[in-house]
Amino acid sequence: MEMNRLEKAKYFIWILVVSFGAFLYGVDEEISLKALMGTLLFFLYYVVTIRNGMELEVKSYVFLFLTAVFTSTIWNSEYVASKELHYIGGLLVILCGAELITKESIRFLVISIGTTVLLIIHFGLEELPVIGLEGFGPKLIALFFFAPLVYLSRKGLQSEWERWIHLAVVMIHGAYVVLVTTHTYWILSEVFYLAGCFMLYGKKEELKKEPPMLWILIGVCGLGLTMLRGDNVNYYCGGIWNMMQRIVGVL
Amino acid sequence: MIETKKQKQYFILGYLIVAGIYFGRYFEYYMTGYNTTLFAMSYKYGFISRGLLGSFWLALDGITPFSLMNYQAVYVFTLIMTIFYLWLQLYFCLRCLDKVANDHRRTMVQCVLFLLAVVLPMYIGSQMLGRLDLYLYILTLLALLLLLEEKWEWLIIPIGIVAMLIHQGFVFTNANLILVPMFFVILTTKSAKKRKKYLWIGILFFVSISVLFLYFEFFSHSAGMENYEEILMNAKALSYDGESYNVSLIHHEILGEDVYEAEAVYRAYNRIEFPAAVALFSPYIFICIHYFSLLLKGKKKWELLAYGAIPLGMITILPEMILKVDYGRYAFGTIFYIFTMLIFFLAKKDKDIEETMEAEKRFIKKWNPIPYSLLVYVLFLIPFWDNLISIEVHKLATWIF
Repeated sequence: MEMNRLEKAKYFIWILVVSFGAFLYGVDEEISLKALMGTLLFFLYYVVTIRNGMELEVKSYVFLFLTAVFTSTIWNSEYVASKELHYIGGLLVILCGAELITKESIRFLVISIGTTVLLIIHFGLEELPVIGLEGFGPKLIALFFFAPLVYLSRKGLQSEWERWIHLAVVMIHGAYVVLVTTHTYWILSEVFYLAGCFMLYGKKEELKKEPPMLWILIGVCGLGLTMLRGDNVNYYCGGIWNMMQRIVGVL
Repeated sequence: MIETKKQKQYFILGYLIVAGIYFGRYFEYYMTGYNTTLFAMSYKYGFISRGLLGSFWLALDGITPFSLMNYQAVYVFTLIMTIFYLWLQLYFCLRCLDKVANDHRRTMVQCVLFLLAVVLPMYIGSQMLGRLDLYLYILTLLALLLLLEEKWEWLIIPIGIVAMLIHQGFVFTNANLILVPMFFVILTTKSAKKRKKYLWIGILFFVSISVLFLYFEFFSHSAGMENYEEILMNAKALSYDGESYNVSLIHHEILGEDVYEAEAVYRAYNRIEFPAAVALFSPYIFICIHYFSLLLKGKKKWELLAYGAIPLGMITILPEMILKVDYGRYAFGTIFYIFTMLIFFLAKKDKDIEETMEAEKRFIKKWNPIPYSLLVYVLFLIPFWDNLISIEVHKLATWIF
């Protein structure tokens, strides 16, 4: 069903409202130009995604998830001056470009290859991080928060080769997050990658067949990935890991 | 939605997961000096305000073989009570879900999700861990369960008295949640017997809490100076570092000193935070005003009075807002009141409430095509604090003003 501009504007305004909440949640002091540019690119991605008005509701819910994770993270002072914002900008440009491609399999290739190439560039240009288990626990919890997204993102893939590529990308990103980097960039880019894959699918009628518990779980996972910040991933993952350690200590 | 036993089990599991996540995020593994000081005040020093919890603690210390007059014991007890409160809140919501008409179950679930999202993180952080409000909400939920099940309603009177002995602020923050449903039944029930019963319970409840409130406000500080040192010593002994205690709390409750000047800094915050909070919560305020105007539309005489009592119940918080400074608690109290009342009356299968809820949902969908964004948005504005409304409101307020 095609929608007029007023209808689309309503969607946009509500994404904006939630973004403002996420911004307030994440920001501490600085109002950074870089973060502002990132946010504008993010909104551009939303505008490009909803341009044809198809499955707008589903796509908007994906964006609610993305804005919760993204906006609350990039305005935080731990992140705001970071070089990683450049890569996130690049990632958003790739995602915007992919959305303009009509053929789903090609769009998938652009998203997966684009994300991986950015990973390699980042890996190559940044100082090589020390391989180790630093912050291992919180990162592991972050991966649990990814699980329902990984499940849903597979739904958009049409053929066997797409599923294999998808699995490979997820495994590489996951292994990298857990074993190598202490940065939050990879978590953020992985969320964007999975959401990009999910939007290849996004058919409301099909999604209605999924159990309601999954949607609650996805909402919770979105909450659990908000305000990503350095070594301990964020307050949620770091806090849960700390709590688990204490419980084990008591037992 | 959440109809079968299996769905209910999933719902409980989901609640436990979210509670675990919130504990991981906000729980700080310690209690502040303010919250431990509350355990130091007991009736050993006369019939003072906020003395019941401390008296109970002292009695428990006397009759059990364990030494309880220390921080660890207070901390563990508070943690158990916080978990009990969260369980009771879930139980209340589940009982309401059991009773709601099938056509409105989805609406009820949405209200429950919103309420639980706000309630869960409220008393976990160190700022609010062990605050007396926790016990007031436990008692209020128990009273509401009695009204919901229509069993042993007379117990509401002692519940009100116990709540007043814990914290006299109950009159303004929680009593409305009990009085409004009773008032509603008195005006709308067709059974004369039921009306008479609720009328008597309502009068006795109201009179008893009012008398206690007047006493605690004006006459309970007479022997303050004699006990000051001992209370101070106990408060220190109960704190996490053996030194901390809250001066203004002891001065106010024991010596009867006016804390108006000491609270000036918080009043300044309140002045700038209040408009910021109104702006941030404006979508919810708008929905709330629209809903109640829809509910009261076309109602006359008794009906108008009965249904009008529901939004009017919110204004009992006004005296607190004018005289005191805990705007975070009042914001929480207001949201708790509205959603608990909606859930309660939905569970009571009130036709007008049900139909207006569905009409309101249609109205919301018209101007918000992604209505769950309202649930996501509120998650960024909580948890509420005590003097400060919330960190996010504070950030916005300090930027603007």
